[in-house]
Amino acid sequence: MTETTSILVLVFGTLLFTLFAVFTILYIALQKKKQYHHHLEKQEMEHRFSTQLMQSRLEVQEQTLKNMSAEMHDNIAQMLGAVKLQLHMLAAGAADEEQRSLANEGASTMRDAIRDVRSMSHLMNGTYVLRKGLKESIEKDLDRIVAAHRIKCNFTVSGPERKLGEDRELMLFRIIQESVANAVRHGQPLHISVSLHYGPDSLRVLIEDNGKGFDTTRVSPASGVGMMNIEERARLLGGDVNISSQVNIGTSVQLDIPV
Amino acid sequence: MYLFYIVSSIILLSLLYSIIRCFVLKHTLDKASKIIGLYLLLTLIAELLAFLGIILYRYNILIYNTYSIVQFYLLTIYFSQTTVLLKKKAFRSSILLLGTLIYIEDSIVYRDFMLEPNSGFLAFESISFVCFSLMYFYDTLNERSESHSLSQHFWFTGILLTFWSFTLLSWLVGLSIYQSLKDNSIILNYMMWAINIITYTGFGLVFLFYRKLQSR
Repeated sequence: MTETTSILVLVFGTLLFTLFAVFTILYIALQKKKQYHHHLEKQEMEHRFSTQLMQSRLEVQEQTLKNMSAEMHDNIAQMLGAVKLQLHMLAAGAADEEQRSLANEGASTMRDAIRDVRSMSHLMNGTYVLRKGLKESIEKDLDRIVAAHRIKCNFTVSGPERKLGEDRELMLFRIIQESVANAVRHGQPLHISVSLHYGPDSLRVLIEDNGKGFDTTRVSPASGVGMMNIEERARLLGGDVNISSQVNIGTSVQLDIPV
Repeated sequence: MYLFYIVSSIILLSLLYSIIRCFVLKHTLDKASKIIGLYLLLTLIAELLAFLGIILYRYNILIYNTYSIVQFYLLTIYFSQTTVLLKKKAFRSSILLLGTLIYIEDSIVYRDFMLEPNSGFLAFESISFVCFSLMYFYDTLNERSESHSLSQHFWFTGILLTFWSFTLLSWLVGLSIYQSLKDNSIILNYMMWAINIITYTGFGLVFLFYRKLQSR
């Protein structure tokens, strides 16, 4: 082998080996990039699918509430109205004072029941909630709680109010409604406060009660169906929900959503 | 001669930078990166001794021959941190044992340890590291990607693959035809300088962007 041939073999051979290494590195880097994009696409598809699934589940829930609301308004409230009328008639034709007083009392209870059923049916109906707006619907729900459970409620709004869009307002109302219902059902509080604070680019909702509370280290706040619904709705709103509770002190649900 | 000093300075500065960066990042470095740091520190010491040897005595073969086994152990341990197959103790021990036997045989039986580079062992070392690097890349391709960018170990392995692919041929062919090259051996030197600059500045760059690469 001549000197020049040796040099050529050496130079080209070494370059070839080095190029092999460089191409391997580039190939792996490109494959990893492709793999990552594929992973991202898959994740996005999964996210889209779960969002659609969640949305359709909530739509079905909303439709069920609407049907129940119509049933309560058109059927149960009507029947209660008829019973109330009959009790009035009974009171008018009562033979003695004791019977009259008893029938009037029944009619009065029936009037309260009709009011509660109507109020509940209104708040279960999404169309009604949307027509009234978020603020008025929350006030109406809290009024119902005050009347039905004798719990002191207060509601405050701060910051420059803005419209969130129909679907988002309805979802937000359902979150507040569920949180308040949970507080009443499980906490037996004396006081519930709901506050909305409109920030420059977010809305903070805070629902606090002074009820029994629970130990968050032993019971997961998200274990119930109600809480799961709250979390799903919050996720659809693109927000974060944070639940904190202390035994015998109370529970607070804080929701931050972008607006 | 000027070029020799410039190249040596670049290599030594790159090594020094990587080692200082290793000390700065010592709490964030993972075990495998610490091994690379130690490898670079020992390389710096070996290169400095070799440099002094060539300046003072025009001799440095003993240093490179001694360092090659240390380098083999360190890099095999590095790959055992990142490569699935080498994590298996039996496989790793077999490779280390085989390497040690080849080193002893090459240094004692086939060559004069004091005067000739142990190119037989270097060939085994080069082939091993090229294979380990390819094994790492195979594992990388098979793992589920959660990140859009490549880890520090991808780049360490990439640099090692480039260096050892080059070493495999340049040392094997280069040494066997070294005698016939006469004055043209300067080409071999240029190529070795180039790959050394690429390798050690490469390590320096990975340590420079270490936090970014690690956080991704």
